[in-house]
Amino acid sequence: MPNLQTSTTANADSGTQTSTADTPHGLNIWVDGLWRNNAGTVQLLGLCPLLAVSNSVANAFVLGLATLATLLVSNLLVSLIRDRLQAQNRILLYVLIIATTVTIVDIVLQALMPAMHMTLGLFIPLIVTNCMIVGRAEIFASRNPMSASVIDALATGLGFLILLCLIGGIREFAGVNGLLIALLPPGAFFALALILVAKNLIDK
Amino acid sequence: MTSQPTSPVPTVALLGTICTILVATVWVLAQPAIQRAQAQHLEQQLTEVMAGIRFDNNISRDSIRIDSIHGPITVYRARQNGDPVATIYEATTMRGYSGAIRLLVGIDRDHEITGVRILSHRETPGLGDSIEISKSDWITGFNSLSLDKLTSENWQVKKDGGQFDQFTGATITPRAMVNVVHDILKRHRSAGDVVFQ
Repeated sequence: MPNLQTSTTANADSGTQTSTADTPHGLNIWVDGLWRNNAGTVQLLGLCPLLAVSNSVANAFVLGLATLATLLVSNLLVSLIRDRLQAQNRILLYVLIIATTVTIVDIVLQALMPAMHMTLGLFIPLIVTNCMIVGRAEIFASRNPMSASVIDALATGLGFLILLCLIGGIREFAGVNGLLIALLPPGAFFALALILVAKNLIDK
Repeated sequence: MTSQPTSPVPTVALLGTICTILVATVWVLAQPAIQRAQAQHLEQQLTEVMAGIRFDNNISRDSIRIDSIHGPITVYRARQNGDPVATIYEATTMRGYSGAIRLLVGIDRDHEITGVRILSHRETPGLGDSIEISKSDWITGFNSLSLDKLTSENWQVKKDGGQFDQFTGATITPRAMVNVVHDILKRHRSAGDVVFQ
């Protein structure tokens, strides 16, 4: 049963809490991000890029890395300004930070890896719409100190990156060995479903 | 009664300014590398469009600008021993699904298309992006066509009564492509030998 305790809907908070007594312990954050509360397999967020870009390990890796970079910067900055967040400007500031980060990631990718940038195309700008980034900003970074927020970003981002590469590997391997449907969208759904089944079995 | 909060405006304004400066700075710094990559991409597409034609000049440096209904366009000339062998039009159409589609159209001395290639676009991944040669060979359907080989009525997508396939779920993109290629062919005919000056 997926862990739905950490909801991703925005809370109607009137302010932020920065009590360090509530900050989760480092190891807990890692386990949460990588497994217990994995963005792709448990929270089921970021499914659009997950399914669309995972047709090869290379594409999956680069997009996962871009998402991780965005998460890091976003969590860091949100955590930095968490005392200045208010109910009225909170979401606006998240979107401002995330959109700026993604724009910079897009420009840098275009300069450093033009071929990959052309392949990934619109999926880099689409990182802005990935719910898990705003989710972590709201749920974690806005209430926890920088060090914990950075760990959370790393854990969530790595959890997503590993999942992306795993699906990419499955699809690319199956596709190269004759199972053509693996490279098409349905293949992505099947691969994710198999991974979800496996994870739930392991969790038992 | 809630305590009067401070205005959210200063924080948003400050952050907005910082973000704008950051993006602008990164953009300016990245321009040299991006221009180089785009020049390289142009060279590569020019070569692909000229597949099958012998030429010995540096095409990307041999160009002029002419007017067209799509605005000013760049015309590259391919020559062999100084004689013109082909022209390549770099055109832009705004009638795609999303933003501008930039493309190259190569035309030989018989006014037949040598090849069409996409330079850049923002069409929908999985739908409109089948105009890219890496996604499908639809764009090779233009090869060796001309205004003589195909009547005006046939220079349309099948949905509009012509002979070009549209993509399932994406008609606007191929329609824009067929229209701009047709326009280029007509522009080439009206340009005559001006393009080789």
